[in-house]
Amino acid sequence: MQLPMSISNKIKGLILAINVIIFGTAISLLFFLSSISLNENQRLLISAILVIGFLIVFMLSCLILLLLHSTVEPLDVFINAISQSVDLSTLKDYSDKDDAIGKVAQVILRVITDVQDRYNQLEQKIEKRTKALEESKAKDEAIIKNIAEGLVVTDLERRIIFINTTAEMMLGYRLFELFEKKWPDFLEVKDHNQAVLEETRYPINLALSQREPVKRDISSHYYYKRKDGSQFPVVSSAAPIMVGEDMVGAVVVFRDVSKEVEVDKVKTEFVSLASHQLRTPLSTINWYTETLLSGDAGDLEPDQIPYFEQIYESTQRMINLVNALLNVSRLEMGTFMVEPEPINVTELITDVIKESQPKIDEKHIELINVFDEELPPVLLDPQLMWIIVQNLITNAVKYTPESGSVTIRVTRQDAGDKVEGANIIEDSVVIEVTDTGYGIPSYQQDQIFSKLFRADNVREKETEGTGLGLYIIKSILEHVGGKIWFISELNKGSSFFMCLPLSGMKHREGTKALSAGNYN
Amino acid sequence: MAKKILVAEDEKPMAKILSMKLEHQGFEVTTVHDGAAVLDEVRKGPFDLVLLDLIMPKTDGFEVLNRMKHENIEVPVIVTSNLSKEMEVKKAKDLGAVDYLVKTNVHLSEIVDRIEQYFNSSN
Repeated sequence: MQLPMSISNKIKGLILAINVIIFGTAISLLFFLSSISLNENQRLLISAILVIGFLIVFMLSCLILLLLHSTVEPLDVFINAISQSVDLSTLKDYSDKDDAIGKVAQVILRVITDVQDRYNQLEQKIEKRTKALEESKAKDEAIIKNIAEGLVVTDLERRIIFINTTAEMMLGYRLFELFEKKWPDFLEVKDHNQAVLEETRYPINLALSQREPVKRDISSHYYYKRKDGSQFPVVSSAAPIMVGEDMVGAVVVFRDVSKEVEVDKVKTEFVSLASHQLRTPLSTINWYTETLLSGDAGDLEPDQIPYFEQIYESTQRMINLVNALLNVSRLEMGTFMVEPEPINVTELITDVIKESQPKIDEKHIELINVFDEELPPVLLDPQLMWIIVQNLITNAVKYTPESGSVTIRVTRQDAGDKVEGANIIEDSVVIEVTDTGYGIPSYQQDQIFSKLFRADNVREKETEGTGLGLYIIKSILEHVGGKIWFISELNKGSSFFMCLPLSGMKHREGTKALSAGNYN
Repeated sequence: MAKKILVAEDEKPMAKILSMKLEHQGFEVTTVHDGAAVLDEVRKGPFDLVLLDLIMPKTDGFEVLNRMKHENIEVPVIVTSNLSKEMEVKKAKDLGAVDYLVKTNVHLSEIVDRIEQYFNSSN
């Protein structure tokens, strides 16, 4: 780096120039005096003036140079030290002095040393951070390269910026072939029914327009076309990439679900076969037992009746189990239909209660109904509502000891209300079923809606039960925009709450209707 | 006069118990075990009602309904089947079935109730 000329050098140059000019002028004047006619005295006087004048100027110059050495030169050293052009040892020479310059030098030396220390610390930090970043980047790259899912990163216009190795292998394209191409236009995406998927339904478009992640499951898989023209089923999710409040692109993750689709098909076929094959002998046993018990085939001996009743009850349980398994498979495949119609909720509940009345009477259970009679009719699927309400009520009756009570409360709740810890998002009808039963052990409360789950305490008391009832209720409610939650205390009872928006259920086409039945 | 009911059911034990129940309730019952026989019987007629299973040998229940529709055989049909898919229920009703009962989910007494309900409503 070329440094600007120091201040002392500039002054030195100026003084030298002034001395040279004055010396020159004096010599010129001396020559000039010799050429003109002056008496000896005049010549001596003028020459003396010129010599004395020059000597004064020369001495002044020497004085200035001396001053320069003690004041301006250290300044130069300080400036150079600060701009790191000289070795600090020069500055240290000044700092040893005990005058004002020495003190200034000490301060400057301290500041420079401090700055240098901080600078070194910062360098070390940056080096450390850079190394950590490089490690993290290497880790991310290893993960992205080696995950079993295909991963695509695009900009806001869906132009591909990156695809991982798995995606390259699944699709048969390399990144350089796809770079800046629009995802997923070149894949001729089809839905699970093999119909061409409209652009607006691409998960990436939904994610970008809604600015939130879009997840798809096996029930709504798509088909992608590989480079070689063959197609394969995928489950794909997309999410916007957000930097603070700004959306900068999207990331798409997809996986090959060929095996799952195949298993699903086999499962569907098995369920269909099993349902029909199991239902025929079950219907036969059911009808014959019913005939025997009704006396249509002749009177039974009184002590034979309990045996036939047991056969009959067990057959009913088996039928319920078959129906429940069918419903679970339909719910999981998302193929059940929803056909809403205006329903008077309290009337429906009254009808369900009538069905459970024999069991309620048998166990001497006190039934308390608290119905909001001004509740308007709500657009609901009667069959789905029947399944939900019937399971809630039979559950309460089944798991309440004799002479206990069951309270059914139907209320209207407005958006923003809170019911036992749950927020009501929109105006809703809330059905509460509270019992004075066995309750759910606190350590098992988070599993109560799991498929085939039965709590330890009721397993001991009631051998019957499939563990499918609450799972089915929750699955249905999740499909139709409803919600279920509960509070429970061991040996005191449970309260189950379900809410459905007053706006009702949305119509949904499906291949199958769910079968009613008590699955608990 | 007793109403005449044709029971079409390929599972013989089921056909037997169903016929017995209906006869017990005072109906006159004819039983067949395949779809072709159903068509023979309804062509000969007359019947007041057919209880029709869907999965049967030779001609299945859907085809029976189809032929009856094309041949303008106007006997009301109540389907009794263990098929329960929405598509199947809809298809049967589109082909003219007046009611659809899933066998495992109904008692014999309920079948009788539904038949009587139908006769009462059509009178």
